[in-house]
Amino acid sequence: MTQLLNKLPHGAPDSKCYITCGTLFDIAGPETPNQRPYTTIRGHVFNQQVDLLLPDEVCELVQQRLDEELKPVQYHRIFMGLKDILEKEFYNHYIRQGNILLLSDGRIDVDDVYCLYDGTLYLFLRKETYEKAGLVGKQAAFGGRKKERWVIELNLREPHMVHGRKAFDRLVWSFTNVFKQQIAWLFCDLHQEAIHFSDTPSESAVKGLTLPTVLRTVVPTITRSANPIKLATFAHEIPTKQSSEYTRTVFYDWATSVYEWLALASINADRLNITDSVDPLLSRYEPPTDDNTPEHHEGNISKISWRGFIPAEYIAKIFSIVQEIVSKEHWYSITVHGFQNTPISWKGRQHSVVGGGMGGENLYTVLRFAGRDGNGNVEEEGGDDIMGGMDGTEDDAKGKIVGSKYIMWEVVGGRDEFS
Amino acid sequence: MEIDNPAPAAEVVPAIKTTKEKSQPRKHNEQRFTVRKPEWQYLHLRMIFDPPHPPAYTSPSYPPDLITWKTHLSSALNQFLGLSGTAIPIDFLHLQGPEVYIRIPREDATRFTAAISGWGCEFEGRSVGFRVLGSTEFLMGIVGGDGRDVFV
Repeated sequence: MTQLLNKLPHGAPDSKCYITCGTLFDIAGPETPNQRPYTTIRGHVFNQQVDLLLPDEVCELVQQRLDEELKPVQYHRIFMGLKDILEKEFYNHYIRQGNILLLSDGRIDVDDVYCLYDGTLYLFLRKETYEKAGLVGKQAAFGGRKKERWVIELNLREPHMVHGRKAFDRLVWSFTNVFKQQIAWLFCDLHQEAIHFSDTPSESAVKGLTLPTVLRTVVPTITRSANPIKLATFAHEIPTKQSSEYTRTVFYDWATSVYEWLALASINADRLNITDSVDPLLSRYEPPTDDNTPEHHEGNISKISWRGFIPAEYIAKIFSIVQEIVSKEHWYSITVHGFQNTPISWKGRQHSVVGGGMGGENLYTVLRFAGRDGNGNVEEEGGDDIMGGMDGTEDDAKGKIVGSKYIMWEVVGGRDEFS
Repeated sequence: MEIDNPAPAAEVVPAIKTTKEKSQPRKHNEQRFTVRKPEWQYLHLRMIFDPPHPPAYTSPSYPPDLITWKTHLSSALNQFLGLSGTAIPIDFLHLQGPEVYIRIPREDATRFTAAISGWGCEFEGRSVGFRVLGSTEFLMGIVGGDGRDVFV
């Protein structure tokens, strides 16, 4: 039986981790918003948790500044049917003129799941529902359990998508007669104060909906570690095109183990406790260390975390504030978890789970390294970069640009179009 | 890294695209890599008891400690896979009530989950079993939960 099992292929496609190493420049150029990690942050639409890890020394300062500069974001949970979003006032106010995010509850591989961003509604349907819907769609990229799922994409901001037009009436008919189910939705108005300062004060009620809604506010929770934990060493070389296979392998090993350490730190795992002395029979885990200094560094770290329905624009704000406040002698990392059952992970990329509610991860982590102030090592063209050492001093036509190094991990499950 | 484990830790496809490098010159100094098939698989497990323990119940044997976990897991692996099952190295990373985060070699993950999900035993008048709450190649993927509780 063992032999048979060994021959079984892994039932599911592998998940992937994309690693990006680069520099976060101090002075934003015109191109900066179109570069990673900014594109990654803005593109990841449906987020459920944001964890910010940083050394305890800077926690208070960061917390203070976040309090001052950031209003808590609000979202609603609504129990409604698909046809309710076509109600005239709601539709015109939020979808045609405004900008909202909507996501419905359900398992992406078995249920009908709907989502809306940038005025485009996506319906991810089972075959039976699709056949009854009377709307044109195409086959979804990932079939789910029964291998047949369909996606209908409707741009509701198109000129003809207004009440009284034929195409629209068809939608109303379909949503009223086919999609009768009432389900839980998350609703977030992107024109709220927390995201755009200049706007009128946000209202606590959803316009044009007669249904009761539950208003929720995303308030960060702060966990400061009571005891110091074992720290990982962040200094490492990153390979270049000229690097040998061996250097690469060592780098991948290092990068995955740093990522593992960050994950353990975010759940405050037992193995990182400095007093932990578990028998090697039960665990052989060791935080990644430098070859030169095999002993563990110790330190206190803090976690600030947000949970709820958090728009990418809000996360971009958190990121820019943190990036500005945390001085260069300190590191920080920000991890953003997406909804595992979301039909879209990054904008325009379809997403599904591997099965049984697993393999639906879509998340990313940006770790900014601490740098030695002042004298950074000068990079040579084509030479290996030293991570953890300060500053991208890559010269530009205009002269030196100063910034700090970062590494980003983007993880997607086996069924995701993101790359 | 273990020296007695010479298998390459990660099968990796270097994703440094030349075309991209040309369109975005070294100015950004950005490098991209892709990691597939890493060394480990991470599992989030819960030990389930039937009849269940009342909430906030504690006793010397509940919540189970790591030795209990190890014993039960070994017994499950032994029953289903024999010696080759008990030889799967398990690293316990975190214990949280009746739940545990562990890591095992990725190649063993399929056999491991098959063995433990089909297992059950009688212990102190309750039947004991395991439930796999999460499984991933990158630990960060399961520490955040699936987000369905936001809808509740």
